[in-house]
Amino acid sequence: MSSDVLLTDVPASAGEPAIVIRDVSKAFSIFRRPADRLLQMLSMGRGRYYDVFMALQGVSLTVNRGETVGIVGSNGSGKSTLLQVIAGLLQPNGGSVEVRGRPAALLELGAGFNPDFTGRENIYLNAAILGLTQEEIDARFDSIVAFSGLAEFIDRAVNTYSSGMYVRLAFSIAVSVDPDILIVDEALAVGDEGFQRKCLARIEAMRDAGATILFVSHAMGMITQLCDRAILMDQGEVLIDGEPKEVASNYYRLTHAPGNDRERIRAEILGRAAPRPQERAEPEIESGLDETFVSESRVEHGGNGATIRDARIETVNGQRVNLLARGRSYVLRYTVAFDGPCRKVRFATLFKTKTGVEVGGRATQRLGDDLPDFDAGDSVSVAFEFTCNLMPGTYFANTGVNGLVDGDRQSLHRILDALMFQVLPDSDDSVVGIVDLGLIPSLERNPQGASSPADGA
Amino acid sequence: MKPAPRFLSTPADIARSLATHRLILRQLVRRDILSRYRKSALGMLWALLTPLMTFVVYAYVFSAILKVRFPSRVPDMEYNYGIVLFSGLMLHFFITEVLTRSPVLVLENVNFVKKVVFPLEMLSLVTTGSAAVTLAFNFLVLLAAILVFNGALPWTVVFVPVVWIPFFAVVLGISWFFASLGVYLRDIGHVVGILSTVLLFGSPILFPPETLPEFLKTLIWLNPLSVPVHATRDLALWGVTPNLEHLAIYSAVAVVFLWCGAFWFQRTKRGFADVV
Repeated sequence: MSSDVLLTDVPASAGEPAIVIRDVSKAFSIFRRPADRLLQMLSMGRGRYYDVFMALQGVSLTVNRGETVGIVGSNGSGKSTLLQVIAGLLQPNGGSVEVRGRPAALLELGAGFNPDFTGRENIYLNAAILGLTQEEIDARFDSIVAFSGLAEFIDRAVNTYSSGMYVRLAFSIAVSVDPDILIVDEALAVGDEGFQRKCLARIEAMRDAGATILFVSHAMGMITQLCDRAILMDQGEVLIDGEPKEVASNYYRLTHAPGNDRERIRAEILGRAAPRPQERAEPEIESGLDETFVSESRVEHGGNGATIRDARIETVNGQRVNLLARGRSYVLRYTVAFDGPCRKVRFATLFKTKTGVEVGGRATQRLGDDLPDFDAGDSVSVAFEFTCNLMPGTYFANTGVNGLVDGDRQSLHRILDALMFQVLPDSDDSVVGIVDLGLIPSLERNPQGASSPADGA
Repeated sequence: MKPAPRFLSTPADIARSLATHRLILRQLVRRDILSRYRKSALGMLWALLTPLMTFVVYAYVFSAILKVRFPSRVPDMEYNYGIVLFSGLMLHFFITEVLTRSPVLVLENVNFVKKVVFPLEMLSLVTTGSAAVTLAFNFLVLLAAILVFNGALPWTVVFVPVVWIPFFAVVLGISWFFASLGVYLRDIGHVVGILSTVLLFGSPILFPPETLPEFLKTLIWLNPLSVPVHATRDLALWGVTPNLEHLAIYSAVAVVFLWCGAFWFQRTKRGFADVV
């Protein structure tokens, strides 16, 4: 076993590789006692005091300066280990790692914070750990505070901060370092919406300024939006190194593959061989169900004589799904049970984006229509069939039922964010926005010399 | 395996690391000292109160109750036993503080091992530096006591910090050794308690070396506390030139200790992430 680690402070010049990883492997040795680790070191390879878990196997990766590369993969696939090896926190067991330029690793925000000290003191300490000098910190202090938006809390101990504030401060310090190479591990999944956007904007600015960025994320939207390239990792190996969209769709195929199919799909993905960016692959996007992908923002109102149960989205064949493919047809279904007489009842649903933009919805009938009445014990199955014209991303659906109570139209039962579902990314990059409006483009080449009518206007 | 570039193996590398990371070092030492007093009502006052009370207790018990006397090195000069004792004890406090904290240094800072690229060798420097600040306060109390009991300070007292430099180096070397060993062998924590007692009784802190049996008289000089304690008393109490030959040998040994400690720490730190 041999490994080379080369870290230089001289940044790579444009187009040159900033990170070169060749055939890196990392075995986590599981030592039963810490003392065994010492014995292992002292035995000079003569003994073996551990069990092995291969976290990385034969990983090769080249990242050019100014490139933004996303790393995706399910939990335990080796993403974080790879970042730690690149950051110099872990020694690889084999292969070589070459990193040119000053790296800043955001593996865990606020890892170096001392909770008893003030925000101000922690800025100085953390920035010093990240490699800034006293003068540099003095010069950047105000901008760090401004970016964090914590000016009024900066002289309070950070143990009085909320976790969101903690993260804000940590990220603000980390980006203030202006690293040549930024390594981010899922750290962006925190903070409120506004701050997240601010962070993304900052990362984009750093990217435009020529920084090399390497990050792990489970948000495929972020990967396709920010990255020039992405790699898909699984069981310590790189399965694909290529276009972010291709990687994202294969990531979904792999992670949503039913148990016994997983190995087959994995082999299939691996069989595609490494980067073939010019080839327009059109993998068939399949709907699926991710049990872990459930709405956490669900809020219920009412229970006013009616109860909505079992809200779900199904394929036309009746298979329950929450991962939808564009262009396919689905049915949103729920059941309503009545426990009292309800008059002039309407049922409704509303689709929203992650940020709460109401994309579209409808009720079963118009108000002026002859609306049905129900009595205690009645039960109704409600269905809304739809074609998924939503663009890839995460969406929510509300469900509701309302009726006349004492002559007033009132909500009988309403569930906000009853369902969360994802429209899977695909490789069609011609459509933009939230909804595919079904625009039909056409082109006609005009004869040379002839001016178009618009020119004459 | 080729060494990582952050590998420090020569004293020059250590000096360079010190220079690069002096801001971290200063911040951390400050943080370490402040956090000790942060939540107490009297705050930093304790830094002086603690040694003062300690001194008063020792001085009273040993001179007023037990009436112990420490033979003088120079004629016509007698010090309260409490002062002589305290001049040695403060160095023992220093080494004990570092020894006790070293084995858990890395274990208490897991984030620095796993989540942040951090020069881990700084941890021992911080502990030693922070203990040195405590020592400085103790020294101030000692100086005040000498002034009160003796009316004047020998001028040689200004050289005391100089003879402490090799002592600090020895302690830092030991700290590096224990900081690393403590990660792998959690038993080290128990060993240091015993070691600290051995260091106290096997040194000329409580009694003059002349009173020891012949074979111990030589052996006692192997204690890393002996030479600095003796030299400190020569300079701060008796106002005489310490044994320069002893100091020279001690300094040479100190460099070896420092280097070995650094080497050991750098060699073994790559395995920390696997076991913490």
